[in-house]
Formats: sequence, structure tokens, C-alpha cells
Amino acid sequence: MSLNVTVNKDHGKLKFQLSGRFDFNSNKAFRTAYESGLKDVSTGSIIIDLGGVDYMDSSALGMLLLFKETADEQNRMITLMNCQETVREILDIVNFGKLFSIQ
Amino acid sequence: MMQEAEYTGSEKGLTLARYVMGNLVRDIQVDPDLFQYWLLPAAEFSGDVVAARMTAGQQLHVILGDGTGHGLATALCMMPVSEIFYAMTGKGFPIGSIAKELNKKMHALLPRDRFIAATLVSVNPANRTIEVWNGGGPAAFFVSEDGQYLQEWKSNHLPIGVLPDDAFDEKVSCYQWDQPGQLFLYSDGLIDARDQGDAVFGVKCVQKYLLETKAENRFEGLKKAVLDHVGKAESLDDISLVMLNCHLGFQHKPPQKNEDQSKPSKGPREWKVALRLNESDIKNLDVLPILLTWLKQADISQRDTQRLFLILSELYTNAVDHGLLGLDSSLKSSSSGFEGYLNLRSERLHTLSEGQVDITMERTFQSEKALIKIRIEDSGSGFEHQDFSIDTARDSVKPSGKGISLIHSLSSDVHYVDPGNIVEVTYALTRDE
Repeated sequence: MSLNVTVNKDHGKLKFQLSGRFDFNSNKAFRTAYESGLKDVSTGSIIIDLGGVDYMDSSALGMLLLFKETADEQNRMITLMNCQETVREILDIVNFGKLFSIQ
Repeated sequence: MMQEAEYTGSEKGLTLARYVMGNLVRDIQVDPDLFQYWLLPAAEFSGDVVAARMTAGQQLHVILGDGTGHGLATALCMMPVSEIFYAMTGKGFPIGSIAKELNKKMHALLPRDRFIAATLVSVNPANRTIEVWNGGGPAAFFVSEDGQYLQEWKSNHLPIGVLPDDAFDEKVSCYQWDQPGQLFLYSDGLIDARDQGDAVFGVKCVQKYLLETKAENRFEGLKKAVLDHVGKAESLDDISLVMLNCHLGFQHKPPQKNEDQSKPSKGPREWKVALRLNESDIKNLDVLPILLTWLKQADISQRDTQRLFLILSELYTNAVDHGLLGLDSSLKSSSSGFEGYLNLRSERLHTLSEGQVDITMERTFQSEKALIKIRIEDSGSGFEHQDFSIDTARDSVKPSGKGISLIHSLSSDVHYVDPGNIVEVTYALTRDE
């Protein structure tokens, strides 16, 4: 299953809800979503809900790094939420906890 | 026509890529008794890199790097990795400094969404120590010859190329083995290798296999187990596996007499160099590469350089650890062991507010025989060197005192000057004059 991204506003925060496989095929879907989402300047910090993601590869990690770079320019914090165990393991191996807040 | 022209162009491009990459893959000239590796690219070009080399101080340096993605584009991104690794290992830098330099270069070169998961290892057989820097790689582990899982090194850093230089953490994890064993490294392609039913090989399978297999069959056996698992399924990622043999009682083997021994030195006949280091230099500087670079510039033969490097590294460590930081070697055999010693060392080094080390190296002659004289003076209070028996140190099985007996075996004279904060060593050059 390819990646499905929905964007909404949650208590003034910009929230991305991801589900499916987050891999090199998701590049366009993810990028389009965050580029349009970031245009909404009425929102502040960012939440990426990974609850529906069951697979993640290193290109997905790369996309998160790109997203972070853009968000940093706008001084927006990114929190990664609801990671499934396999996804959490991947984030731990690359120590993304040093770059993102993971809940 | 246009299509055909483009096709020819791309074929030429591939031929060129094959040629350049082929030149980059150097023979790993490390004794297979110490080191073995296996690399299975998913496509024609590998995005995994394995490189290994012995340092002048007879330590084994190894890197296993896995770039984001696979194929030609990833292989291209990985090109500088082995070059930097070999150049810095040759200059005598420790693995933490090599990781930092790799990160700095790759952070500047790579686009923001690309990085390299890498594990660097340094094995020092003389004092049975292993240093590991793991940024984003699967856990490395040490299995004893009789099949016990004794140590693992999980990734505790971000991968290479993610952080800017000033945020990079070059801290390595240390381990001292007290029984012989094997250290294993692999890329995630090995544990993610899928069979035709899409089931992964898995890390548990790797560990179970290694613990249940005789030491001498582990490497080839694991390789075969992975290949059997994959069968005819299409491989999706590069696979690499590295095994380092860590022996007890490994003896320092002097290199064979090289052809450069017979050629007279092209360097200056007599010279003297002096280096004065203050507390900030001692904290922040890799001192040994500076000395090694000078020895190479002065055209000291490879064999003499290796021996001098061992002597210098031992003397410098003693001056800092015992002279300035007041560490007692007997701590290494205490309950907190070698790691406790290193933790205390890094703590005291961090808070060192005053200290100086003077290093002098001189090439001179005595009865027509070329010598190198080394003098190292620290600003510490010295020690009771009269009580220090070399015979005791040599016969000792404790992890302390080995260094000084090594220096004695390589040098023609070693003596301390009262109150023991100065050591003078004379080394007879082996090259024919």
C-alpha cells in the first residue's frame, strides 16, 4: 500500500496523518503534502502522526530530514507521534531522537 | 537516431563508471586470519563500502558504510568514504577523528536527504581493546570463540552526513576482551534480506546462527545461510558482512623487510624537531599524526616508522595518563576494569586546567650508526621509576606495564630522569646507511 497523507489543523498545530508504506515511492505524496501544509502560517509546531505507517526505509528518513530543514527555516518544531514498534526501532537506530521530539 | 545516440552515451557512461569504481575498490591487504568480509551488491554498483587497514601502530581499522539507497547514484555518493578512511588511517588518526572528518566532508557533499549509516572499528591486539563508533548501523557484536554473546555496540550516533561539524559527536565506545572471539558487523541489507515469500532473515537468526556454530565456520556459514534464505528472490538492498578475529596473546609482527630498507634515506641526515603542547592541545589535538607525518616527510623507512610510532604513542599516553592525569594503571585490572579507567581518564582530561608536554625527536649518529633519540617531558610530579622493574612488567599478565616492556624490546635504551617526569629513549634505525 502506498503512502496516504492527510493534513489538518489540531489546536493551532499543523498535523500530518500518515498511513501505509513510507518509502522511496512516497516522495511525491509526502513532499506535496508538507509543502502545501507549510503555507498555512496560522499554524505553529508540527505533528507527524506515524500511527498508520507499517514500513519505513532510509529514503523516508531522508524525506523527514528534508522536511525538518524547511521547518527549521520557519522555526517550527516537529514531533513524531504514535510510531509502531518496527518504525520506532528504525528511528532509534539512526538516533533521530536527537533531531525530532518522538512521542 | 537520437535514441540510439543517447543509448551509446549512457553505455559509455557506464563503462567509465565501471572503470573509475573498479580503481576505487582496492585490495584490502589485511591478514585474512584477522579480518574477513563479504559484499553482495543488489545492483551492479555497491552502495555499501567496506575498507580495512592496519595502522602504523599495528591496530586494525575497519569501516562498514551503507549509503541511502543502492545502485550507481549511491555508489557515487560513497566514493569519497574509503579514500578519506585510508588517507586518515595512514596518517595515524584514531577512528573518532576519522568519523568526524567523514561527517564534515559528506555533510558538505551530500544533499540533505542522503546520509551514510556507518560503523568504524579499531582493534588493538596488543592490549586486547576494541573501539567502536556506530552511527546508524545495526548493532555490532562480539561473540567468544566458545559461543557466548559478550558485548554489543548499538548505534548511539546519528549517521554520517546528517549533522553539521560543530554538533558532531566523535565519542567511541571501548571494550577489552578477556577471552578470544569474533566481532561481527553487517549492513541492514543482511538482516532485511528477503526470501521468495518476503520473509526477512532477521537479526535473531544471525545471532542464533553465530552462537550455535563453531568459531571457524561462522563467517562462511552465515554467508551461506543468507544466500540460501534469499534463494532466487530478487535482492532489494546491498548486503555486507565483516568479521574481525580478536585473538588472545596476539604478538606484534614486525613487517617484512621492505625494499625501501636498502635504499638510503632521502631525508635530512641530521635533524631535531620539538613540539610543545599545552592543556588545550592535549585535550583537542591528535598529536601522533603530526609526529608520524614528520617521520614520513623525513623519509624514515616504513619499518622504522611503525616501531617509532608504537614507541611514541606509548610514551605520549604515559605522559598524559600518569604524568598529568595521575591515573594508576592498576585501575585497569580493578573491578570497573578498562572501561572504568577510560571513563576516569576522559573525566580528568576534561577538567585538566594546567599541563604541558614537551616532545623532542632527533636524528643523530653514534659511531656511524643512525639513531632516533626521543625525549618526552611532562609537567607532572614524576614517579618512583627506580622501583619500576621491567622484568615484572614483562612477565605480568595484567593489562598494565605491557606498553613499557614493548618499548624496551624495540629500543636500544630507555631511561627516566629524576624525578621521573622525563623519559629518554634511543632507537637504532634499521635501514642501511
